[in-house]
Amino acid sequence: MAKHAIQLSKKKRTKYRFQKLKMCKKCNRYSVLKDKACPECGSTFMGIEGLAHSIFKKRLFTEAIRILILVCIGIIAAPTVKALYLSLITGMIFVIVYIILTFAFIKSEYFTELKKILRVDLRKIGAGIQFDSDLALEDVREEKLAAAYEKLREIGDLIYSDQVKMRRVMVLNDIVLRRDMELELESLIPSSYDKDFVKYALEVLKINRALFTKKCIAYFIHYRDAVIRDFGIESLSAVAGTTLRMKLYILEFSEFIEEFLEYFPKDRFLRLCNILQANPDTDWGSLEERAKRLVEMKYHYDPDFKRFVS
Amino acid sequence: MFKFTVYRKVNMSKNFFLLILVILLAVVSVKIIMAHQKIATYNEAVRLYKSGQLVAAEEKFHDAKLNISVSDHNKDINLMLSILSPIREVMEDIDGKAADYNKENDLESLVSMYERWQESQKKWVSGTSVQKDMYGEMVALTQIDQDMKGYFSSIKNSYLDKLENGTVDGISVEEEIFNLLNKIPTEYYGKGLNAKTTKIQTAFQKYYEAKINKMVATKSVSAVVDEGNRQFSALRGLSMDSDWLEHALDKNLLKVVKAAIDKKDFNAFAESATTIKKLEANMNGTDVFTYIEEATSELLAKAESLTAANKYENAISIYEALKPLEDTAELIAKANLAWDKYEPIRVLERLYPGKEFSNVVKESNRWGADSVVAAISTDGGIYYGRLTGEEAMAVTEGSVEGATVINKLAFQSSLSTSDFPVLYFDAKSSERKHHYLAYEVRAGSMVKILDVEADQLTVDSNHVLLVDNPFGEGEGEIAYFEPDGNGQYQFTEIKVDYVDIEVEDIANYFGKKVRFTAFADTLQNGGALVTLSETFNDSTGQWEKTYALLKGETHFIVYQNFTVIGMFNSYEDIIDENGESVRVPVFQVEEVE
Repeated sequence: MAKHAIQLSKKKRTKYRFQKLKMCKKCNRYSVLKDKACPECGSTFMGIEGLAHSIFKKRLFTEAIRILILVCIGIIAAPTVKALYLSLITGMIFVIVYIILTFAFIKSEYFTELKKILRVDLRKIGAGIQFDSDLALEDVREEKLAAAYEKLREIGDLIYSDQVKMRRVMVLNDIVLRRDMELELESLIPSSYDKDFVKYALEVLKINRALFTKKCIAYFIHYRDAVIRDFGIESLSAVAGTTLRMKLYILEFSEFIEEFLEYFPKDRFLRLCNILQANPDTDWGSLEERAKRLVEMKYHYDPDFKRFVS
Repeated sequence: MFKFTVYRKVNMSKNFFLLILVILLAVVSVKIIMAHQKIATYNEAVRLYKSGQLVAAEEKFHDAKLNISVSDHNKDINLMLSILSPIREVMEDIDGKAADYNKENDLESLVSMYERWQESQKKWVSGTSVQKDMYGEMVALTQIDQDMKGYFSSIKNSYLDKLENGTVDGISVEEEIFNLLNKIPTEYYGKGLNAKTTKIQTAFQKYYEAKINKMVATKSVSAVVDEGNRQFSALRGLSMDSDWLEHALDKNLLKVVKAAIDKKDFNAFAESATTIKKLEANMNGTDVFTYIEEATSELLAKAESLTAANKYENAISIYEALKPLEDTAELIAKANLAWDKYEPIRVLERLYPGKEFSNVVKESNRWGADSVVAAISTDGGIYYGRLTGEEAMAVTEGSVEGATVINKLAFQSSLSTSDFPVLYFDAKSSERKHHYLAYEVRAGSMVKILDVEADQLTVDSNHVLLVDNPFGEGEGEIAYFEPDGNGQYQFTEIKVDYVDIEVEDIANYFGKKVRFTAFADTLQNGGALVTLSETFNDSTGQWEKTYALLKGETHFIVYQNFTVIGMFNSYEDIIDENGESVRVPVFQVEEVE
C-alpha cells in the first residue's frame, strides 16, 4: 500500500497537559482535540481552567444563596419585628464577609476546584477522550490521516496507553514521514513489543536520529531478538550506531555497542574512537579495549585512525 | 451521579438553591409586609379603643391577632380581646344562629338563643363600663333586639294566623301550636303579666269557636258533638278554661234540639239528643240536657195521650223515635195491642198476608170481645175476627155467595134473633140498586140470614126490614121482611111510605113524604099555585094570602083538585096577585092519584 503524503499542523502546546482538556457545557462532554466547537451540538468548548473558574464562581454564588436561605429562614422564624431586622442585617453582613473572604483565597479555591473536577469527572473525561479516539478512528477509516493523526496526537499527549500509541504508530506508518514534521518517538514506545512501532522507529531513525532517545534504544535492546527476526541484524546495527550520538548513551549501552562494533561504518566507528579518546578518564570498560583492537586490526592503515594507533 | 459532570451538578445545585431562595424571599417579603401590617393594625386598634369605638377596635385587635407573622403586642392584643371578643362572638353567634334557626323554623333553638341573649345581656350590662359599652355597640350593630322581635312576631303571627284561618288539623297540631306559642317569650305578646296567656287563650278560643260554628253551620250534630268532645279534651290538655265552650255548645245544641222539637222531627230530636249525651261527661247540668230530659218526658206524655186518642201510629212513631233515648219497647207493644184492638183489621192482615181486604168493619166491646172485625177479601172470603185481652185473634171464615161487588159492609146485630154478630152486606145488584146480604156468625160458622135485591133496605124495627122494591115478592113496593124460624129473613107484606095530611099543614112536613088534596088556583113558575090561607089586614086594608107551589112531571089544570104524593123540600119566590114578591114552599109531586 502506498503511503500518503500529508501536511501536519503544528502541535498545540500547553504548559500543563491538563490544560488541553475542555468541555462542552451543553453536552457535558470533555475533549482534548483542537476543535473550538463541539462536533455534537456546535456550542463552544470551555477550557478546563475557564471551567474551574466558572464552577468556582457558581459555587461561591451557591454558597451565598445558602447563607441567604438561612437568613431568610431566620427572618421567617423571627418572632418580632426587631428580631426580623436583626436577622436581615446580620445575614447580609455574613454574606458580604463570606464573599470577600472567599475572594481573598480565590487562587487556592481555584486549584481545589480544578483538582475536584479532575478527580470527580475522571470517568467523564475518559469517556470524552474515548469519543475523541473514536473520531480519530473514523478519520482513519475515511483516510483523513492528517486529521486522524492530529487527533491521536492530542489524545496521546494526555493518554499514555499502548492502544493510543499503537494507533498513532499505525497512522504514522501509513504516511510519508518528512523531517519537517513534528515527529515523536519516545512518547510512542509501547510497553511490549510492537512490530509497527519498530518499523516506525527505524523510519524515524532514517529521518531524524535525534529522536532516538535512551528509552528507545533500550526498547530495541530489550526486544533485540524480535527486531532481528523481523527486520534483520542491520536494523539493530543502525540502532547501535545511533547510540554513538551521545557519550552518555555510549557509557549506558557499551556492551550493545561492543556487539555491533565491527558492523559500524567507518564514520560511526571514527566518532566512537574520537569520543573514547576525548574522554580518557572515563571508564569505558571493555569497549575501549575492543575499539583499540579493532583500530589496530582493521584501520591501522587508515590515516583517519592514525592518531588512535599507539 | 455518574451522569452529571461537576459543572452540571454545581449548576443544578445553584439553580435549586436559587429557586428556594426566590421562594423564601417571597415568603420573607410577605412576612415583612404582614409584620408591618400587624403593627399598623394594632396601632389603629389602640386608636379606635381610645376613641371609644369598641367594636371596630375589637375587629382590629382580632385582625392583629390573626396576623401571626410576628408576636409583637400579642399580650396586649390578647388582653383586649379577652374583654371585647367574648361579647362580639357571643352576640354574633346568637345573631347568626337565631337567623339560622328562624330560617329552619326551629323555635326551640331560637328560644334558647333568646335566653342566651338575655343572660348575656344581664351579665354585660351589670359588668364593667367597657363591657356595657361594647354590648351596646354590638346590639346596635347586630340589631339583635329588632331581629328577635321580628322572628318571634313572625312565628307568633304565623301560628295565630293558622288558628284564625282554621288551617290546623288535629289535637296534636293544636298542642304543638299551643306549646310553640307558649315558648315565645312573654315580651313579644305585649305588656302586662297575663298578656301572653290571654292572647294565646283568646286565639285558641276563637279558633275553637270558629270550628264549632262551622260544624254548627253544617247542621251535623254528631260532628259538633265530636268536635266538642275533642275540644274539651284539647282544652283540658292545654290547661285552658272550657266554660265558654260549654256555653257555646249548650246554646247551639239547645237550638238544634229545640228546632227538631219545633218541627216535630222526633227522630232528629232523639238522634241529636243521643249524640249530645256523649257530651254529658263534659257538660253535665247544662240547659241542653235539662231540655232533652223535659222534652223526652213531654214526648212520652204526648205519645201516651195519642195512644189514648187512638192515634197509635203517631204515638208509636214517637216511641220509635225515642228508642235511642228511652226503652220504649214495652210502650210500643202496648200501643200496638191497643192499635190492634182499635183497628183489628191489622191483625187479619197479619194473619192473611196474601189477602186484600176490600171492605172492613169493626166493633169494640161487643159480643164478649174487646174488639171484633169483619172483612171481605177481594177473592170473596168473609172473615170475622175477635180479640179478647192479649189473646190471639179468633177468626171465623166464610164466603160471599151470589155477590161479586160489595159496596158496604156493616155489623147489623139487630138482624140476629139470638144476639149473634151479623155481617150485613150492601152489594151490587143486577136487578136492583142494591143486593142486601146478611151472615150470622154462629159458633164458628157463618149462616146467611138475608139475601134480597132491592132499591133500598132499612131496618124498620126490631127484626123487621123495610125493603124498597125488592126483587121478587113485593116488587115495586116497599115491603116488610121478617126472620123465619131459622132466623132467615123472608118477605112478609107491602108498606105504605107516606103520611096523609091537610094541605094547610104542609109547612110542618118539610122533607117528609106526604099525601094531600089541593085546589090549583093558578099556574106559576112552572107549577100549580095552591092557596093555603087568606086573611084581611086592617092596617093595609088588603087581603093577604099564603101559598104552596106544586111542581113535578104532572100537567096541572087550573081550578081542579089534585090528590098528590110528594115532598116539601124547598122554597121559591113568586109574584102574588098584589104584585109583590112572596117566598113560598115548593112541594115536589112524585105521584098524582
